[in-house]
Amino acid sequence: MLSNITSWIVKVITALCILVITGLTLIVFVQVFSRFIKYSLPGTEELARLLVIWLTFLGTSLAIHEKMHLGVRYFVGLANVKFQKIIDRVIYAVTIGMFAVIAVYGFKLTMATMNTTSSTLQLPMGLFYIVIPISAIFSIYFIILNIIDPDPSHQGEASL
Amino acid sequence: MIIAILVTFFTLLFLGMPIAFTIGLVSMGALLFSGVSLEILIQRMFAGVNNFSYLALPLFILAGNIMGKGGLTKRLMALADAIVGRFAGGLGMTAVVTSAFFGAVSGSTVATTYAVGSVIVPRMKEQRYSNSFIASIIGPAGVLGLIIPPSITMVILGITANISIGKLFIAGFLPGLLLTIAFCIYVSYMSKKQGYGVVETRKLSGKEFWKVCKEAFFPLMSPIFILGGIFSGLVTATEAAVIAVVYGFILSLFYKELNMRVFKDIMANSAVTSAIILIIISFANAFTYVLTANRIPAMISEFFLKMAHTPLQFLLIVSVILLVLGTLTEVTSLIILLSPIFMPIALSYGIDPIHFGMVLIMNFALANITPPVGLSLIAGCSITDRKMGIENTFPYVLHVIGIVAFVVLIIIFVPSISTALPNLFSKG
Repeated sequence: MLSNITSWIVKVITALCILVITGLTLIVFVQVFSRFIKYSLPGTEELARLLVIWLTFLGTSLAIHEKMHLGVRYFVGLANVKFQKIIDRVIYAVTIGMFAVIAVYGFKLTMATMNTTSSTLQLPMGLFYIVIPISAIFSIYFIILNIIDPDPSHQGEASL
Repeated sequence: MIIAILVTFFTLLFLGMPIAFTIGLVSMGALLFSGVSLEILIQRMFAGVNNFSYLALPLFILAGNIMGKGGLTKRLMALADAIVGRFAGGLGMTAVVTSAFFGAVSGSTVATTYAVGSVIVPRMKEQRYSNSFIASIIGPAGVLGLIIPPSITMVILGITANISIGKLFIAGFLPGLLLTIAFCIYVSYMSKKQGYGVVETRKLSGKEFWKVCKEAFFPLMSPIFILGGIFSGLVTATEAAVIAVVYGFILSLFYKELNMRVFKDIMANSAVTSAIILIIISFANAFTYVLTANRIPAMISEFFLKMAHTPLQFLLIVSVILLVLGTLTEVTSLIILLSPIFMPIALSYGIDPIHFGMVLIMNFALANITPPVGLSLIAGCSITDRKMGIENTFPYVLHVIGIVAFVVLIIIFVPSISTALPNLFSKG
């Protein structure tokens, strides 16, 4: 049951991320093209900013699930396994606290900005902000999953 | 307050908390303590990534990933082999030169190590290179991906320190060449001394050589498009990244190495990789607020003014600081946190921003291979042997670190290596 929900959430976020990165590619492509035909499309700059913000926060949640966030694991690795587990749990708990605060204040800010609109596309500014509390909630969900089932073999690789 | 910030920061970091969250949590704590509303945190996080120019980052990561998985490595390796394969330690040099070629089509360090290593490490083992030597070469050679343009690290440095990405790219060319040659000389010398790679040395006939060149032609056209486009001023760095994405995509369709599933994986991985950098930038913007409120950048600046009386002294002190921090922490976050603080100080010393950028880049390359925390070195070990630890790379890794450190010094003392090409092209 839980794994079904998880795989569904992961699928949706992954699809959104792919959509966003495709969108960013297209925006720049259109920009180059429009320079040649000397017609500039309004709002591409704003749309790109919206997509970058969505990419940042959605990708952050997904990276928690894939365990891809950059960190210094070397020194914890020196401790014995039992101690490592305790430390990991403490870190997870603290991180959940942080995301809870981000969710609450992010939601407040979203509500406060729903009635203002962006300058060119006239989108509600809340649309820019809302991804912050949404991703915070998903992040908390993924961290709880990591606590329940700490699978060390499941380790993503960032292509830096 | 400052001491509390630093202690909490390093404690959480060394306990294994992801660096982005460490920065976020420390910022949150500091804001709470100084009685500032936490709304500021969200606003600063938002403002940190609400920037049009940041879309360069996902695009370059995507371009590099497509190039890495599209079957280009084999063709580039064949060319490198044809050029240096015939000499003593030929295969080791092939590994270095392939990494340099790969660095010219991709912008990533670890991906360079994995892409090149997966093809060449088995062959190096056959030719009786020792594991510790292989890991000490294939890992550090990956930093050529960071120095030789295009480079994701340069994109991050460009957007956080406000330096022209295009100019940084051009500046990286000569230092990259210098380091490639230095690596090759070392590999050749060491192989001869230890008797590595003497099983076979191959010489290609003229006809075979021509065939290899033809095969590598289209992959190598990619850097020519990207750099040519930027050098000539026809396209911006970001636009060049999109050209690379499209070109890499067409090329891999042509080589039939990509199917829809792999392509989807590449897109998703690129998106998440971008996000883990962008989230550091986002939290770091909140952190900068905390640092500035506590006058920390001003104090760092005063420290330098007291310690360093010449630009040269400043560059050397910065390098020592980065060397120390680089052994302990991860490089990307160092760039994001430190370069915006260092950049204005460098300008006040009258240092050319491109020269300073290149000194930073070379130091980050060094930080990538210094144990215990060096992403490239760790990658080199894991591609050589899954169970290999970084302690097994001694003594060779120390030689390699020495070589890179020496090149860093050359870059510091001879600014024209970094600035000559950018100046040449910006005039034309």
